[in-house]
Amino acid sequence: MPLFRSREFLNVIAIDLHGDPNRPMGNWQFAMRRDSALMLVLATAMLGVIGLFMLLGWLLWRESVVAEEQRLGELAQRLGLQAENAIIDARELLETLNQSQAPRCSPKHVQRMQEEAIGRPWIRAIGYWRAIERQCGAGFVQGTALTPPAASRIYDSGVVAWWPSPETAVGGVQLFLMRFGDHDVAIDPRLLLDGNRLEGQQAGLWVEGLPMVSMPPGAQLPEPQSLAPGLTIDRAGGRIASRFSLGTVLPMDVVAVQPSGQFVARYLPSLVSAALMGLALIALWVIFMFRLSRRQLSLATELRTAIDTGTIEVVYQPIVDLDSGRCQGAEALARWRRDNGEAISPEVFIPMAEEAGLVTRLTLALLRKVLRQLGDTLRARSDLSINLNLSPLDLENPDLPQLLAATLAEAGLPASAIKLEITERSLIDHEDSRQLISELRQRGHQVAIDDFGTGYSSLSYLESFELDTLKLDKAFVDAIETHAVTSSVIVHIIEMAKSLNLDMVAEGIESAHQAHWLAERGVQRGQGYLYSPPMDAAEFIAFEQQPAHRHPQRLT
Amino acid sequence: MTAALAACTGNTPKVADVGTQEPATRLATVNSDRELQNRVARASADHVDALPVQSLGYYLDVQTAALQTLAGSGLEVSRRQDHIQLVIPGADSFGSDSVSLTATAQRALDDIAEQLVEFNQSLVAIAGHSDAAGEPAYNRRLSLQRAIAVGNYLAARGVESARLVVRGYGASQPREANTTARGRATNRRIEIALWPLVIPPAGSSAAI
Repeated sequence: MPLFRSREFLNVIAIDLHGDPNRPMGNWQFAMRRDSALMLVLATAMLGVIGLFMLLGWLLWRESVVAEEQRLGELAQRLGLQAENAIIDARELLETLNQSQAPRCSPKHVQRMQEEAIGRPWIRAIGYWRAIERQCGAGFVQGTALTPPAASRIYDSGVVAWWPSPETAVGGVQLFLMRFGDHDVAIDPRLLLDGNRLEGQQAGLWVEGLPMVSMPPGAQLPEPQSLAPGLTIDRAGGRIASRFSLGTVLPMDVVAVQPSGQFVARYLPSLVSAALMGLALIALWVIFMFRLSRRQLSLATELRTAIDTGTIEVVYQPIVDLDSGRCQGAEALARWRRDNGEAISPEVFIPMAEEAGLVTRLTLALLRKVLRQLGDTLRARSDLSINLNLSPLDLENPDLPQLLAATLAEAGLPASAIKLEITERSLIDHEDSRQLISELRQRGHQVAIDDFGTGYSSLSYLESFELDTLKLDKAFVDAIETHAVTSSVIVHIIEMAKSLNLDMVAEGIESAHQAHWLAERGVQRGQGYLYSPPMDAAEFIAFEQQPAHRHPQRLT
Repeated sequence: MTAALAACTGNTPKVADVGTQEPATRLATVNSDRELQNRVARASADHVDALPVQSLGYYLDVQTAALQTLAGSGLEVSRRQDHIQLVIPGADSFGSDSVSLTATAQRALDDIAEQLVEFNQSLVAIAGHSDAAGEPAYNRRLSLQRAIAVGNYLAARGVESARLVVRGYGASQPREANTTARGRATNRRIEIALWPLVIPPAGSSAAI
């Protein structure tokens, strides 16, 4: 993605550069463009960052809510079970006491009640009653027996229960009372809720829909019926309420409330650390992208400089007549070695040049170098020609023929000395190329189609262009060795080239067998490692002077 | 004794023998709600150990719960605003056209009596009801005598006879339609209302 973005803004630069390649853009203008482009990168990156950050924040928030719900759910479960167990235990205790054989209010009976009370911290009193008179018992209420006027529940089983209320209060503590048969218990509901676990929250327990106890006492808690199950965020009140229902024997609800700040505080550390980590990652990424863009840009600048100063080198791969073995010319290939010694592959810098709008500049620079290096050789042999590759962008430049002509005129060489290689793709991309090619041919250049077979053009389409040569791709030449030659595509291509009256150059010939096979079928010329790998001008001049090259020279 | 009671209600029994146990003391009879409430008020004033008014609710709640545990025999217990209403199905309580309590009934009444002895701050109003088959006067008498039978039984089990009042409704208060056998069986019942005796507010005199 970042690579794509850098290309986009480089095209912005390209539009300006491409207007008049002959007038070099001032360095300061170029620098300014570069900086604003960088700003664009940064701005886009920031947007991406913010978006990502918000997503992260939202995800973390949801995680926190879920985690909090879970935590409160567990708390509610615990509290509810605690309460439920205490109540069930009290009921069983009453049953046991009722069934006891000990004479009522005997020392043994009283002692029994005392032991049971002491063993259960939430039971404040156990009493033995006859009608409305408490006869004896254990606990704090000696002499003050509670007879609240209205029971909260009378169960079919005969248990009567009084929920905590002012009528059940002793010393300011509202008790929960349970009577069954002759005995009753007074439970301190505050001990049904484990206050230690609340951690600064307020919580309340409802049993059978009636409020049992809240911590701290008197806390203002919303009723369970008014809350949805789970977590509810009350923004106006600045607090978070949660409600959980449970109960196997008795229906229970637990409501817990905490200030929003507390919830945030609990999850803030994880939020902050996650945010910091995220920020760090994003910062690293931004820095990386920044440096990458700068490198891209600086590389593009360097390329431009290299082109202008003629640092781009040319190497030559000889093209040889397959019958006579005589060298007929060469394909000129660009090579770039940076000042620091690093070699940049044409597959990298050619597209870079295309995007930076430096293609024609490059083509002309290469042409100038070819003419300077091989000018004498070309003048000596008029049948020698050097092939120059044209990019599709070159073909979109209507000034190209004129520019080439001017360069050739400077060197005093005819157009016939330079053959132009164009790819099949460039034929398809632009209809106007047809006219340009025609003009180039009129000026005296021969035109070869390279990479044939890799595009979609049909025979008739090809016919509509004026072309001179067809280059057979290395892939087809390779097939001569490995596949059954009678069924190979290359045969058909050769036939087709003949029918179009195109002469052929086979690329990538590596064996004498291939050369022989091709020559037999009428392919006129070839290039490849069989004859020579690409070499510099001096080596080529030496190569060209030799009369014939039928056998492999050297392979390095 | 029976004849005297019959004379009080103004009717001569047509049935030859409606045998009852001879009670130790005569049970009070009431014929209207107002009479009943008067008796409640008077008993409240007279009772040595009447209920403090703040304990009234508690008394009724706990007694209701205690009576509910006896509900195995088909006994219905309902706690009303100011009293407790018990319903004893009549079908298994008395023999056909008899005022003798069956063994089932006696067992139920034993348990009830125990509760009434413990919760002794109430007036026990026993009401007999019958189905609509037969003469209304006969039904009234039969229902009253069945109520008396229950009352005597309770008294024999320790409930103070001064706290017992009886009343015969006859068929005048059916619970279900008398057209079906089941309906008629439902209507033949004993209802016991337990009216708590509350300490009257200071300064008021007992109503007569």
